[in-house]
Amino acid sequence: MEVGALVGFGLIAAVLCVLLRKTNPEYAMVVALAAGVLLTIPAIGQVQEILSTVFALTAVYAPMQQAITVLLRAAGICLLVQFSADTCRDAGETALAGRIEFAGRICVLYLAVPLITEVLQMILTLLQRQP
Amino acid sequence: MDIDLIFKIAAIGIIVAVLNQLLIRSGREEQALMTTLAGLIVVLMMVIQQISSLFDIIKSTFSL
Repeated sequence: MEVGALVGFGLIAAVLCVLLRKTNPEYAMVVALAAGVLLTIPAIGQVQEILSTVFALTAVYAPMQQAITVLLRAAGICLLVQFSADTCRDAGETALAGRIEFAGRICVLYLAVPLITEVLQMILTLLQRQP
Repeated sequence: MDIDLIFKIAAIGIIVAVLNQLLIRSGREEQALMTTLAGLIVVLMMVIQQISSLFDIIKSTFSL
């Protein structure tokens, strides 16, 4: 994907937003939302290729791959939460954006609980092994 | 990536703004409100398909 197309896309969308904001601000928000979605979709397509390379590189060590899967899910949740929270903030709903971010943080923490327990158990076994 | 969607939304927005002004000047406020509402629903239906496809792509990529 060319970076020139991305830049032009974003600039045209910004100009249209400013044009629409005077008369009806709700359309400006919808234009911004659509532009954001259409800019994100090709970027995610490139992420897919990067991820396949990462998985191929870490295929030799299984625990690493499990950790990377958790990391990947957390990144996906963060992406979605950031997207919707930014949209809410653009629409002037700062409090709603804060709630969405809080819910996203809880989701990521819930995802990381197995890894935390694993690390704690590892520490416990190391402590018990000492004389 | 299709810029046509952005242009379509902006065009609908401008048309609705013009219609809104015309209807308000001719003293039909309730029809102006209905026009604004209908245009917004049409635009939202267009955007919601894109949002759904984005969410599907994110779901499949990050194995959520």
